[in-house]
Amino acid sequence: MAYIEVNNISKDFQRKSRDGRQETIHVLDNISFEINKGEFVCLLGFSGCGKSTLLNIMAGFEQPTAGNVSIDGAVMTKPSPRYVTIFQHYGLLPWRSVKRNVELGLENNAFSKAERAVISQQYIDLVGLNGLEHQFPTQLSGGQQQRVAIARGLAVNPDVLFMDEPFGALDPITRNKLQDDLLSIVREQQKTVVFVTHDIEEAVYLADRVIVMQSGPGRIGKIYDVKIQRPRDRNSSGFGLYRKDIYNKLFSIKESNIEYYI
Amino acid sequence: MKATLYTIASFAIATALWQLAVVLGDFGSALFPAPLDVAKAFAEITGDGTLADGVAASMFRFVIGYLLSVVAGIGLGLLIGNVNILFRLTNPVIQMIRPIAPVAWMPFIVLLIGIGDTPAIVIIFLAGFFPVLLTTTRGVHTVDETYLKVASNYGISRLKTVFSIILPAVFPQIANSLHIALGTSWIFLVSGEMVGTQSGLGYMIIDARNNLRTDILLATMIVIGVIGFILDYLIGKFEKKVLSYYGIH
Repeated sequence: MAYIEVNNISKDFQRKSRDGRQETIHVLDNISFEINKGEFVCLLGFSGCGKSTLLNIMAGFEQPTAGNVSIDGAVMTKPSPRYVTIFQHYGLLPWRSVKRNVELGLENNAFSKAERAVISQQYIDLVGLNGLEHQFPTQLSGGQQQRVAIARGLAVNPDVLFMDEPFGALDPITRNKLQDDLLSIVREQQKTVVFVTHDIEEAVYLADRVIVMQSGPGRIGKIYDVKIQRPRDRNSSGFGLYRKDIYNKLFSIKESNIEYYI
Repeated sequence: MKATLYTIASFAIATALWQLAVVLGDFGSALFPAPLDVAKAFAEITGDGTLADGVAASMFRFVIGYLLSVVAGIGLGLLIGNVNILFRLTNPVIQMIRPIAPVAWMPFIVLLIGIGDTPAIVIIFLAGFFPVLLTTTRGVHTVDETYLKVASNYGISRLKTVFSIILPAVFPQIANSLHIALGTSWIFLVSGEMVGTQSGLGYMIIDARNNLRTDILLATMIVIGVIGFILDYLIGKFEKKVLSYYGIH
């Protein structure tokens, strides 16, 4: 049995159409796949293909209309600190310092104040923010803020990281650096990662497997096993082949959609 | 520095125009006192302690009424904002009561409770309560969904989420409503004291009118303006501090 099992997930949204009638939007259609422990999987697709909705369901924030997700043998019904989500816009609390943000998930009876301080320092150091403990989120760059969010996530020692376009708002140089740091951290900490992105290069660079999603309704287009040695070279020919393959897959999907609308 | 100069110039011009109106108007100094007469009246009410007593009485009511409206507005706003059934049950009635001017409550409250501190405090409370309540409720409803996801992800209890995530998240908006409520409360304090009390700045205005002392009347009006201005300045500083603490500029 695989570590994470996504079983026949479908999701419908109800909304009011312009003429006031209730209509049903079919967002996800019968999606199934499995993820092994310690695997790094990217969900790749255009905006609106339902990849974020799928991630929200996997993380327990939303319930599917049909199907279920199980992790480590248990069906997901609600979010849990064992499976932490990292958001595109960080979700840091601006009224708390870096240290207090990282301690957020530790503020329960399981830890004393001293223990919290030790753990938060450990993860602040891990993400390279040593010396910024007492800064506030608004005093940090976007890349640094996402590092705080990652430290906060890792501090509760989760088994899985769900990441929803975490580097989407960052400039390319910062993004590349964070990708490298993320890879070394999750390898060292042996985390399973589900990473949503619309950036093909990012997906090929990071993932053990790339799940390419089609839209209208969201479904799996193709799953790629990325068999490139790490550390990966974005300019190597092998990398280029994957990038081209996935690009063609994504855009043939797009073209067929366009034909459909004509 | 420049701002101070403009402030001084602004008051100088206003005083000059006032003096000019007195000279040209020919109402007689008993009906339309000149700036100097008002300054003398100010010295008079300061000297005999009337002003200090009036300000003390007004500030006492103001502080109680305003603090009550802040505590009740934020408390009930958090409750109503977070419990949907309560919001749906209370919102129609709140929206109906809100447009009733606080002074319209006055006769009813005076008949019910009698004159004294309470009616004025109730007026101030009503003036401050609704803006704070509605802003808090709306703030809770529009709080960034990511914060709520973070809270549920880290297993933070509902109660703790309300006080340590939602309240601080909406506090910049609440601070703005505290600013607005302070100004409104101060305005209505004076109206309240003109009807239901025997002391305070509003009563001093009525008393001056009854004694045909327009100089004291104007001096009191200016004091009301100055205190309102100072209160607004102080809460404005507080609001700015809150916003900069949150990184909002």
